[in-house]
Amino acid sequence: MSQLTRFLERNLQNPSLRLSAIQIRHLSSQAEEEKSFDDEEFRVLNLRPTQVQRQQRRVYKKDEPQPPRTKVMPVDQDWPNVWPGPRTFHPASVPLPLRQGFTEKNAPPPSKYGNAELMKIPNFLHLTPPAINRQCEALKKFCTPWPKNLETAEKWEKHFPVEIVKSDYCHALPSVRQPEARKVSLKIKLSNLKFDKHSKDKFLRLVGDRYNHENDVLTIQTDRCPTKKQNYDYAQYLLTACYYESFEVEDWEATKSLADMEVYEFEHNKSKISTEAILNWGSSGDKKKVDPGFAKSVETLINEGENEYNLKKYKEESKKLLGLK
Amino acid sequence: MSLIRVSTTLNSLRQSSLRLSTVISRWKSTEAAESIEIPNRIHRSPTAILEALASTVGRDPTAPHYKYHDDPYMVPNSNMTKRTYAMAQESGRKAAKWIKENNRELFMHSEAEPPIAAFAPEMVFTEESEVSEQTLKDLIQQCEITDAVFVYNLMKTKGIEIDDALKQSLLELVCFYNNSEPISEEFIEERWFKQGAANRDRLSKSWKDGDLAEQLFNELPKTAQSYSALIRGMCKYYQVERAYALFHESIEKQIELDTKTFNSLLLVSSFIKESGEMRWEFCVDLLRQMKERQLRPDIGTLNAALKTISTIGHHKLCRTGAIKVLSEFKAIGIEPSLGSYCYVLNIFCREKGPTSHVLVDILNEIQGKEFQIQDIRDTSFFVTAMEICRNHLHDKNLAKKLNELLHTGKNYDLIGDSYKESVYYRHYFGLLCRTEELETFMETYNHLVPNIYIPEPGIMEEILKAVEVNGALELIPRLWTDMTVFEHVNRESLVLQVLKIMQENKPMLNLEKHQGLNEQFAKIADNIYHKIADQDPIKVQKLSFSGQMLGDIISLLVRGAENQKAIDVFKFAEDHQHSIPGTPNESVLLELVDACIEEKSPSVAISCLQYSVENNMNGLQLADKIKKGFTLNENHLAKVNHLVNEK
Amino acid sequence: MFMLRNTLSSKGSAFVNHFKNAAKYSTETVSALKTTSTPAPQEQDKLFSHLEVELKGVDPAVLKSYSWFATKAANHLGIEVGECYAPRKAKHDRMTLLKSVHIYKKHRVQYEIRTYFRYMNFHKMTGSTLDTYLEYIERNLPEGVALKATSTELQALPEHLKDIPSVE
Repeated sequence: MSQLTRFLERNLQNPSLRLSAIQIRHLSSQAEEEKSFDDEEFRVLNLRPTQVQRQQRRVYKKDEPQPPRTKVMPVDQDWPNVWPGPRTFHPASVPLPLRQGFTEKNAPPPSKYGNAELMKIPNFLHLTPPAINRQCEALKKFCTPWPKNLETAEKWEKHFPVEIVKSDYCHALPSVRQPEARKVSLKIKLSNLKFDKHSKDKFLRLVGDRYNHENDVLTIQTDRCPTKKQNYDYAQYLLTACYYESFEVEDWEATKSLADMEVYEFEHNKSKISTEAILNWGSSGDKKKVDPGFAKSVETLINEGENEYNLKKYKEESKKLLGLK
Repeated sequence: MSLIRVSTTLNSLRQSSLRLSTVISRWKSTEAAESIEIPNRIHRSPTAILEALASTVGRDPTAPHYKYHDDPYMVPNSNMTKRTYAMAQESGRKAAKWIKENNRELFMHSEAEPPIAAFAPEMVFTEESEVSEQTLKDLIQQCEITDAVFVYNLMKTKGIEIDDALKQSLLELVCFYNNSEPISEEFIEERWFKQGAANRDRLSKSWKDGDLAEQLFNELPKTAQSYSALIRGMCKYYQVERAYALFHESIEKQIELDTKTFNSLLLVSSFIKESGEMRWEFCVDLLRQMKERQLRPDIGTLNAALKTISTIGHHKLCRTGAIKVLSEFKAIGIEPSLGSYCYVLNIFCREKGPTSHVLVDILNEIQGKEFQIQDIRDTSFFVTAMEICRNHLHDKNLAKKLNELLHTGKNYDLIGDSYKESVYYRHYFGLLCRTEELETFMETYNHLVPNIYIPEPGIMEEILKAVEVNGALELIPRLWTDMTVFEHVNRESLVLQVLKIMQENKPMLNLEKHQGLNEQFAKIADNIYHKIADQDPIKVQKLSFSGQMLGDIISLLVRGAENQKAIDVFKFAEDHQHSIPGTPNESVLLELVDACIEEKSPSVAISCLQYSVENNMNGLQLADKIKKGFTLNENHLAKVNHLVNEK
Repeated sequence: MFMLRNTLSSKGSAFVNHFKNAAKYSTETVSALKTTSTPAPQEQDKLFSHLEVELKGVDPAVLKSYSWFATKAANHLGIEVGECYAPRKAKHDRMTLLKSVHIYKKHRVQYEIRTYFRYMNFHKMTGSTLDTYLEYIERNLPEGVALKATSTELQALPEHLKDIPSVE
C-alpha cells in the first residue's frame, strides 16, 4: 500500500500527470492484482476489460474558431465587393443585427445565427442601390437611346405601322425549351394599306375574325410552326398573300348574291322597288326616280345601326319623299 | 397564277427585309425637315454583359478565397490548413468522378435540354468497340491521349486504314504529351498546389525512347511536319542529343523546319553545348540559319535565346549578348513578354555580379499594361522581380510599383501557382517590414493576412524584430494570436523570441496604448506554459522547456499580477530542475520573491532561495529581501541563514 | 488569378475549353492564336414600343423587391417605366386527394400551390437596350420566380405592301 501512496503522491504533484478517479481505481486494482498474484498461483479474472479501451482513446484538441467576419469589417467598406452575387444568407458575413421568425408572446424573434427562415428566403443583398448604380453604369455602353422625333404613338405609327409581338420566358428548369415562346403576333392598322372597294371587301372576308372593326387593327397570330422565326415568316406571308389575293378577281366572284352582301346597298334591295312603287303608285308613264338623299339615309340607317341622327335624317328624307311637311 | 405571284412576292419580301437591315441609318420622311435617326445596333459577345458586371466587383479583404466555405469554423487560417482544405475538396470531386465512372448505369439520365455533355458518362474504349477514323479525329481534337492511342492500336489490329494526315496529328499529340496522360484540367487545386514539382523534373530527361512517337515517325513519310513534331517533342522532354541529330538530318535532307522547331532547339541549347561562349555561338548560328530560311522569329525565339544566355556564367558576355538580342528583336517589332523580362532580370541582377537597376527601367516601361500568358516563364516574372527588390536593390518604392502592376487588370493570373504566390509575398513582406514604418506596414499586414498570404515563421521573426526595434509592444498580443492561429507555435525559436521581447521590454504604463499590456503578456505566458506542459507525451516533435523560458514566463506572470500561477510555474521548475537545461535569471527570482511577499507565502520564498543556492547563484540579495519582506518565524530564519551561510 | 476567379461565370467549361484550345498542337503562330474579330456589319437597331414583364412567383414579397430592383435599373438606364401593378389575389392550384390509403372517401386532404403575379411595363426601347436590360434582369432573377417578357417591335411596312399590286 505504501508503494501505492508514494506513487499517487508523486503523480499528484505533477499537474500534467494528474490522474482521474478511474485511473486511480485502476491502479489500485492493479496493485492489488499484483499482490494477489504473489500470494496465490491463479490469475484473477478481470470482468471489466472495456474500461481499458475507454482510457486510451486520444482526445484531439480542437482549435478555437475565429470570431465571425462581421467583427473585422470596417464600417465604410465596399458592400458590393463583399456580396457580389446572389447567395444564401450567411450570418457570419452580414454585419446586420437581423431577426426573423415567429415566437411566443413577449419573446424576441430568433437571431440571425442558425435561422432557417432567413436562409430560405432569397435575399437581395447583392442588389443594394450602390450596387445597382455601379452595374448600370457598366452596362450603359451597351444601350442606345430612343430616336428623337418618335416620342408619341402617333409619330411612330405613321412611320412604323407594323407591330410584331413576341414573348420570351425565363424559368429555373433544367430544360431550355418553352413551346409557348414560338407564338408570334403581327398587328397592323388597315388604314395603312391601300385598298379599293372590291379588294377591301375580299380582304376582310379572307381575314375574318382577325380584324377588329372598332380600332381597325388586323391581328395575325401564328403558332403553327415550331420556331419563332418560322412563325414570323409565316405571319408575313399570310399578310402578303391575303393582300395580293384580295386584288385578284376570280370568276366565281361574279356569283355574289344579295345574301353575300356585306353592306346594304339601296340599289339592289327590295327597298328601292318598294319606294319606287310608292312614288309611282297609280301613275303610269314617267317613272320617278328615288331621291339619292333618301337612298343614302336608308343605307346609313341599316349599315350603321339606329341612332338618333340616322333616324332623324330618315324621317326628314321620308317626309321629303312623300311631300309632307 | 396566283401561286406564282405569291412565290415571287415572297422572294421580294426576303430581299426587301435584307435591304432594310443593311442600308442607311437615316430615314427622311416626306414632311418638312423631320429625320429619324435610328442608332446602329451594338454588337456584343454572349458574355460581354457578364464581363461588364464582373468588372464592377473588387476584392473583399476580410473574406477568404471563394473556394473555401465562408464560415468561421471552416475558413483555413494557416498554410497547412489552406492546402488541406483545398485538396480535400478536390479529392471529394475526384471521388465523385470515380463513383460516376464506376457506376455508369446510375448516371444515364439527362434531364437537361439541351443535354450537357460533361454530365454524361465518358466513352470507354474496349477491344470490341466500333472505331473509325472519325472517332480518332475527335479524340485527337479533345486531346484524350490514352484513348487516342488505344483506338489507334485497335484500328491497326483490325486493319483499318489510317491516312497520313491523321497519323501526323496523332504524332503531334503524342509528342506534345510524351505519350502520358497529364493531370486533367478539372483538377485545378492539384495544379495550383504543385509546389515547384515541375522545377525538380526540369533537368532530367523524360522522353520515352523507341515508344509510339518514334514508331509513328518511322511509318510516316519524312516531311517537314513530322520532323518538326518529333524534334519539338524531344526537345520538350530533354532528349537533346537525338533531337540535335534529327536536326542535322533534316538540314542534310533540306527539309524546311519552322520557327517553333528552332525555338525548341534554342531552349535546350544549354544542354547541347557546354561552355558559355560555345552556347552563345550556337545561339547565333541557329538564328542565322533561321534568317537564311526566311523564317520569321517570334516571341518564343526571343525567350528561348534569352534563356540560353541566362545560363551563361560569364556575366559580361551574357549581358552584352542579352542587350544585342533585345535590340534586334525590338527592331523586328516583337515586344518582349514578361518571360523575357524575367530572363533579363536573371541575367543582370545576379548575386555575385554588380547591382543593376534594370528593374527600374523595365517597370517604367510596362507600368499600367495588361499582360496575357504567352510563355510558361511569364509566371516567374513577379516572383523574380520581387526577390530582386528585396535582396538585390532593397527598394520598397519599386516593390510597391511592382505590386501595383500585379493588381492592374488581369495581371494577377500571371502569379503562377501557390508556391510562387507565397514566395512573392514573403519577399514583399520581408522588404516592407525592414524598410517601412511600422504603422503603414501593419496596414498592409491587415489587408493581406490571413486571406491572401500567411507569413512563414521566418517572416514572422522579422516582423517581431521590427516590432521590438520600434517598441510597438501593443502589437505583440495581436501577433501572438496570429501566430497561434497560423500554427507557428511549434517553432521554438519563435516562442523564445516572443518571450524574450515581452520580458525585456517592460510596457510603460503612462502610455495609453500600453494599458493592460501587462495582463495580456501574462496571459500569453500562461498560454505558452500550458501549451508546452500539457503536451501529449507520446508526441514526437514536442517543445521542451528551458530555464530561460521558464524564467521569462515567471517574470511575466508576476508583472501581470498572476502571482499564484507564477508560483506554480516556479514549483514546476524546481521539481524538474534536473530535466530542464539552464536556469532563470537572478532578476527573475527577485521578482518572484516580491510576488511571494505579496502572497504571503514565506515557504515558497525560502524554496526560491534554496533553488538559487543550489544552482550557484548569488543568494545574498534574495536572503536580504526575504528577511526584510517577511516576519519570519524561527524555523524559517534558521533555514535562511543556513542556506546563505552554506556558501 | 483573383479577377479570373471572381467572374460570375462558371469556371468549368470555359476554363477547360480555353486550355484545350491552347494545348492543341498546331503550327499557327502566337498572333494567330488570338482570334481576330472581324468588325460586325453596321446594322440598324430594332425599335420596341412596349415591353411587358410578367412575374410569377411563390412569395409576393420577393416579387415586390424584384420589381423595385427592375424599375430602379430601368430608371438608371433611361428606360421609361409604365404601369407596374400586382393583382391582389393569387392563383391557387388545388389538389384534393384521399387522406387514407384505403376507403374513407369522406375524408380528404387538400394541397395547394399559390402563384402570385406582378406586371411591369416599359416603353420606348431600342433593340440593344432591350437585350441588355432583359439579360441584366434575367441574370438577377431570384429563386422561385418565373419571368415572361412580351415585346412589341415596330416595323415599317414592307415595300411590296406599300402600293396596290400592278395587274399582270
